[in-house]
Amino acid sequence: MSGISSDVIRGYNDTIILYLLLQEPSYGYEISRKIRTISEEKYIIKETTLYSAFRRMENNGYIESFNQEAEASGGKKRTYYRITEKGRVYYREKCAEWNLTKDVISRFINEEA
Amino acid sequence: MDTIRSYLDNMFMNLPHTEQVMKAKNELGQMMEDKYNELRAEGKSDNEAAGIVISEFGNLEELAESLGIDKQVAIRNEAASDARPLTLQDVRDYMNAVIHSSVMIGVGVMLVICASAAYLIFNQNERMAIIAFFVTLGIGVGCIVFGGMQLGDWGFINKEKLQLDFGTAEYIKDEKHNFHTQYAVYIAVGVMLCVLCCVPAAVVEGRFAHIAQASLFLMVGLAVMLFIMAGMRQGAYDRLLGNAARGSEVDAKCYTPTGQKVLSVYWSTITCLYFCISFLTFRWDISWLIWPIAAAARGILEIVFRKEDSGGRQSS
Repeated sequence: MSGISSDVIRGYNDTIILYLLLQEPSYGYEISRKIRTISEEKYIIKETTLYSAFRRMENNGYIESFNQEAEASGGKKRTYYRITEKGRVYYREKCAEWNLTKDVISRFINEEA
Repeated sequence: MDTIRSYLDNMFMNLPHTEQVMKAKNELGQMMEDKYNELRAEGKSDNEAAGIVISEFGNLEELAESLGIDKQVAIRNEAASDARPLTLQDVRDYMNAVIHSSVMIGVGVMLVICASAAYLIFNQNERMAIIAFFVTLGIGVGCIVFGGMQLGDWGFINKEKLQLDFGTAEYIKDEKHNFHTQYAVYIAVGVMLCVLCCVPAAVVEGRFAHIAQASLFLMVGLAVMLFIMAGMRQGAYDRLLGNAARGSEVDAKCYTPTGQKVLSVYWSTITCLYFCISFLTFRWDISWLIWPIAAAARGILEIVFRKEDSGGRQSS
């Protein structure tokens, strides 16, 4: 069993990030660390993947960025992201899409094959 | 941490310095730094932490889509072919050539300056003195020409775009760092010799007075030799690194067109002046003063001719 395929997960990076931003505004490394812990180290997002997702979602108006000093590590300035109303709508759409996908694909999964 | 910085610098080396790109570089650097710090806090070694951070970084092509730099990444691959690649072996060969050449030119210039010393040492016999003067001068000029020729094959280093791979750039930085102490010693000893050069002539009187006067030239000569050896090697490191980082025309871009013309003929003009004045007045004991004055004047000219915007980063 190899690791997670980047082709498959690509369509859901946005969903993962938005899920985390729904809880609280956050910045690059914190998001990457949460993805690693929540997935129990099964998915480690690359920095470039994360950054391009930020830019894409910001351009689409799903998230907004602002500068703030991080509480941890000596108050260095970080670019924080927060989810917008448009982002919430998009997140709900993606959740529905995933449920549908999961439902369809699972019909074709045979564990015993 | 330095490894990560240079890795990132290297990744962004050939991209234009647009606001978008600089923003991406900053934020990515911040993410890498955070990750590195946490790995270190978990007890990983510097190398391990840097290795993990770099292996999980991803690739630039992925960023290109969202930054509108996909053209640049394509150009980057093309630029890679028109920029001249320098291997580690090339860099070693070049540095060897620079070191040899700097010693030859340094010794040559020292001999040219010491030609007057030779004249003074043999001044009991007019003919001997003149022969000693010209022989020393001749050998000195020979050394300078020979030393200059050693760098003949490497002229492109100053003119063309260079491409260094990551390991080679690191090697040069290490070498430059190692050379730093030696550089400081050369300059310090050189300055000391310059300061002390008048002492023997002032102290020693009588029969050996002319030897003491000659030692003045010897000391100045040695000092200039040290300056040349230190400066040429340091300059070569900077050029290798600077050229690779910023593309060609590093020096040229800093000065106005008139400035470039004046500065390029500066030292040959001074040399010419030195010999003209010296031969016409035959005051070799004073005429050497043109060198320190010329060096100071050069410094002022470089500031005067500097382009005002050369401090800012230029993007094209």
